[in-house]
Parts: sequence; structure tokens; C-alpha cells
Amino acid sequence: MDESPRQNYTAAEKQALFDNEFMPHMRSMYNFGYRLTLNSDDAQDLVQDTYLKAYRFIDSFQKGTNAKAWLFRIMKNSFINDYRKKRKEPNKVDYQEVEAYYNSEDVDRQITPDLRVDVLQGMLGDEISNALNALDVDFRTVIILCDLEGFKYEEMAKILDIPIGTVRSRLHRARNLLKEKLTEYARQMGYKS
Amino acid sequence: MQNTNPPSGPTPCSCMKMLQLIVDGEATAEEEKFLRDHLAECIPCYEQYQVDQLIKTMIKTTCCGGQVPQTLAEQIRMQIQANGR
Ligand SMILES: [Zn+2]
Repeated sequence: MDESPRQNYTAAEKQALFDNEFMPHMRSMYNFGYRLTLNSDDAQDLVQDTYLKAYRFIDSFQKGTNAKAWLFRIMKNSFINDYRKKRKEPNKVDYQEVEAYYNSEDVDRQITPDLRVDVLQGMLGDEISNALNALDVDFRTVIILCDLEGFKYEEMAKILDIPIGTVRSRLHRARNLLKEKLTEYARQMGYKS
Repeated sequence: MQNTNPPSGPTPCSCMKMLQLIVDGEATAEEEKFLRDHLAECIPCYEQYQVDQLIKTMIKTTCCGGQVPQTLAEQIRMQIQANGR
């Protein structure tokens, strides 16, 4: 959003953009906020904050470009810069460390053969949702952007400010971790491999 | 012959990292052809592919979240008006 030239919308244009391009994404924004914070009040704050910023910086939004991606990027930045800092989680591991750890080949080797289609089909939505929420927020985020919101890798790279190669490897790792979680649940449910 | 997994689990095929390209619709035509051909002959990859695809679908249908609080949109509009234009 910073590379694009500044627009100079009239008040009426601003209002139209806001109503027609931004507001229709409210549901996706709320869900993203909820998945980031895992808390309804915080999600609402994050959505509100995102929309207020979107309005304030509307001149840096280029008409015809992907408004949803633009809003997601604002929310992601608000989450990192405001929300995360405000409530410094003392035992929060720095993401770089997490990524370095999961970069090891071990993760691939952990793929369990007993997570099969029929096992998954026996699960209700809750297990998937809980497994997703149990992931580290950065891994959770790539899965939400890709699988739930249907963003392309290139759009994800822009939203997250990371190279496409990192999007791909982070997604791959996130999915392996998700499968690990689901395998755990499957074992608890008594599935035999 | 029965296809039985060794107790340690199969050694993952090097293609597994690429599988998500077709799951996500991000493969180039060339990659797509390569992967489709590979899936036809590699059982571990084929099974993984099916699992990955199912998980993607399940996420889409089950993780879309609850209702947006009704007052939220109204609050946002009021805030914007209060902040002046
Ligand atoms: Zn293979």
C-alpha cells in the first residue's frame, strides 16, 4: 500500500469506496481477527481499528486493486504492531526461532501415515478448528489466508511482507503441524492406524 | 502384494513439498503435469494429496467463524463520523 501513488478522492468517492469495497469484507475481517486473537472482544477491536485506519489512509488505496488483501494487510500490521506489543506475552517465542526450528527436516519425517481420509471424515468441524487454533499464530495465519480466504501465494506475500518462497515453506510447515495435531486428536478418539 | 507401512513410517517422497501447488491451484502447467504423473504412480503422495485436499475443504467449511456482532458495522460508521471527515 505504500508503493502506490496517493489518490485524491472526494468525500463522496471515499464514502462509496468504503461502503462498496471495504464494508462487504466485514465477515472475513472479523473471522481473521478472531483467529488471530482467539477472543471475540479483541477481534471486534481489531476490526474496528482496521476499518478506521482504512478510512484514514483511503487515499493510499488504489481503486480497482484488491480491497480485501489491502484490508487484511492493515489488520495483520495492527495485530503485530499494536495488539501483540500491548500484551507482551512473556513466554512468546520469537517467530524466527520457531521457523528455524521447523525448518529442520524432522518435521517432514513426522508425517504420520495414520492420518487418512476416512479418519478425517470421522471428525467433526471442531477438531479442525481446534487444531488450527492450537497452531502458532504465524502458521495459523497462512492457513487462514490460503485455505479459508482463498488468497493466492502472491497476495499472501504482499499481505505478510514476506517472499513467495517463504509463503510456500511456511504453508507447508503449517500444514504438517496441523496434521500432527489432527493425528493426536485421532489417537485420542481411538482410531487405530 | 499388500501395501504395508514399515513401523517407522514411510520415508517421505521429495515431491510432498510440491503437492500443495496443485492443492492450492498454484502449479504452472509444467509442474501440474509432472505432479499428476507422479501421483498416478506414488501411493504415499497420492494419499497425502487426498488428505491435504480434504483438510483444505474442511477448513473452508468449518472455520469460517461465528456471527459478526450486529453492532460492529454501526460502531465503525459512528466512529468515522465522530472523527470528522
Ligand atoms: Zn511421491
